[in-house]
Amino acid sequence: MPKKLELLTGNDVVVKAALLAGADFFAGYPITPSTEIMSGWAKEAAKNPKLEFLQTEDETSAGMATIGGLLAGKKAWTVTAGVGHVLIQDPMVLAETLSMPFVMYVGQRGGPSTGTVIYSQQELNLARYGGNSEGLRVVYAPSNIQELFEITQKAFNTAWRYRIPTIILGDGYLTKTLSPVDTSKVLPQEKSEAYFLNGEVKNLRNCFSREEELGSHLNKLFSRYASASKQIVESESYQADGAEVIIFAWGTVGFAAKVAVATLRKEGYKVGLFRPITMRPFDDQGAIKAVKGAKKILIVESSGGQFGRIVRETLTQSTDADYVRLYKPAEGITPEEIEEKVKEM
Amino acid sequence: MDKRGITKIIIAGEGGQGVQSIAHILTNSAFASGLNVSFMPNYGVEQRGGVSLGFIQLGNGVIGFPKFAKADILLVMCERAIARTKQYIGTETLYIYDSDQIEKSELGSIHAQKLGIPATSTANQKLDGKVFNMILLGAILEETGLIKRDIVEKELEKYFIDKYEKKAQLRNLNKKAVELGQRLAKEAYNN
Amino acid sequence: MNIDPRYPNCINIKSKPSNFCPGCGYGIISKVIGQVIDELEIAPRTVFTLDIGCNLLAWDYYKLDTIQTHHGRVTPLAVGYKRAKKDSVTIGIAGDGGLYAIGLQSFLHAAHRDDPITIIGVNNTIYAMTGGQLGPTTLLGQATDSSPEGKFTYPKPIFGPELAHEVADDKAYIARASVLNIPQMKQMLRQAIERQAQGHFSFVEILSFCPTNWKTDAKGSIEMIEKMEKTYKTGVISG
Repeated sequence: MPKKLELLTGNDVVVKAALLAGADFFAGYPITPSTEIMSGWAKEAAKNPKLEFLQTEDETSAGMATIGGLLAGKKAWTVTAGVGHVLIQDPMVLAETLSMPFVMYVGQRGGPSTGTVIYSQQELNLARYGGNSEGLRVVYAPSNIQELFEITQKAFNTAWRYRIPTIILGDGYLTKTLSPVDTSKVLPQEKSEAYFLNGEVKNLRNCFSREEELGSHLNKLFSRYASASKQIVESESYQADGAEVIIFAWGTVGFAAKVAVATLRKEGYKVGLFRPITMRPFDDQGAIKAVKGAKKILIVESSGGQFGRIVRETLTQSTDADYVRLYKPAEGITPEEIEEKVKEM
Repeated sequence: MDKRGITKIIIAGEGGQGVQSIAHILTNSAFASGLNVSFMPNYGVEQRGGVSLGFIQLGNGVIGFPKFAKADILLVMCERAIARTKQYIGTETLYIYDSDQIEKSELGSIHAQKLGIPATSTANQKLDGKVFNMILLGAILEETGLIKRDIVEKELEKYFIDKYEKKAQLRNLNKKAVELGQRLAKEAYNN
Repeated sequence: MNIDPRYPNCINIKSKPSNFCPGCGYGIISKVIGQVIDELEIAPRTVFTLDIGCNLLAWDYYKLDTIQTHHGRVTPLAVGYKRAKKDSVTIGIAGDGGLYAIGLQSFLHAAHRDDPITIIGVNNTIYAMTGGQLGPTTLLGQATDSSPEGKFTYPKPIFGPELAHEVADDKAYIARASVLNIPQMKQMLRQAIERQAQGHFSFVEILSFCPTNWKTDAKGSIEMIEKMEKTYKTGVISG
């Protein structure tokens, strides 16, 4: 298909991509910086009676209503951010234990608590393990608007193909920024199907009487997750071969790092990048491979170390390299800052 | 322009001054010119009042992140924006300001090449007070040198079509304002 | 009206004997709901959302699709499902805690939006599943696990149906029944479900036994309901 460049904001792109993925049910609650996605959907639903829209009284209800939509076989989804994300992890864990294709976009903002309405990378822990979770969900981290467009579509497919809650973890800068995106990249849609009233009675429970019952239930879920992970896990290694310094970065900061690496390489620095695309499941193998031969590892994130802890845990027995941190909680990180840091090292 | 071929522009003004209009038309024009472009609005929690900033990047290169540390061109439209935007001044920054809204004396602590454009008075005297922001847009266009006027005029048409339907004279006023802004920038360069 | 002593068709015989306590009001309530479903012939279209209190024990009670959810979230789950499947009969069941404490917000908003679902609120004045703590419908001076000797109770309880009526559309069906009057309960549940079919919100609160936490025998349980009926008036509040 020929390229089709359009000038859109991240918010516009999320709505467009969701529609292309077959989304037809949205329940949500307004919260900056994700509100425009909700109102964008409302505008679409106002024009198209096949689309459902519900603004609920809070985020726990939004998540629960979304699950209601899924039970009826709708490609239901929601969006949130910040403290709304905190609340929505309540229905999220219900979707987790029931293995439901709950799709959610999160526009990270400053935290903890109300923080800023603007930007951060501080909801990584929450997305990966929020609520009383065992991490049985998929978390995608797009690094620019093009990836956001393709990953949002992919998220719906992953959720329905593997029946697993899937989060698209963006941030306030990504969703507010207006930039060109090629909207010709459309993925084929995965089929949806109803849980209820389809001829086979289902009694869905999230509460078990005895420890062994829950244990057995969870072992099945872990096993499913492990085998699905093999198909789902995704990462990018950029110029990592022969690199003395490997940068670890994700999301929009990951793209800044990539641009920095391209420039640094031109200037003769032996530096590479490992950028996870799925934050859950995490590409442990890819990370370990990327750091072979590296003398230093630079972890860059707009948080106080949420990503850093994952990196160090993953690499714990696989590297002797020194760790350097470029942590700017709740603040953006530009390619220039990353270049400067690498040159310092 | 940075080493990756991108020009970084910040527009700073108060709500109601048309920061968003300038930013959108600049962005749309850059896109229509086939340039790579990015525009990110940045403001605090207040719905009204407060300084609003627009971070714009345009050029033929790669844009690495929606925000940046130092601007190549910084447009300051009101006094309150002076303090707010100080951190974005680098060694190469061109500091454009509306000399009718801001006294040169207020800029004592600003160490950058300055370009004062009498946008408000020019608009009031020659066109219409409302289009002062389009004069400032003209000045920016002159300084980037990357976007042709006919493309800008097409984008002005698209962006303001609803307003033009209600008030047809705005069309010419906006066009003239951009033209004037470019000329003022050329002339005022020796400030 | 005949109360059929046999189990309704829509009940899952394999789940017998049920896990409800002996003397629990849910024994009666669940059976009556089942009878109404049979009589209205809506089994193929009926879906239940259940809370985390004692009604969770009904999770496999019916041969119908059920989903047991978090405490207080019965209503928004039902709302979402009904919106996505408009020809279904969507019923949410919760206790007084799940509806008037943690679930009050979403309960009132469903009434406010006139969402066409049916909510059944089982009121036994306490949080039974966790051992009988005080709740929104505990009476002044009532001794419970967290109001020893009746301390810490509030001047006025929450009157759920009346509160819902304040925000609901006039066409909503809102009523209060009691386990001591089964024909009335059955009639009200029927009307509630019929009102859902007409596209409106419906709610029936049912005053119910909890001998385990009230620490009452059969006679004492009946007396407690009679006492509750003096405060919580049975009848149709909106309809």
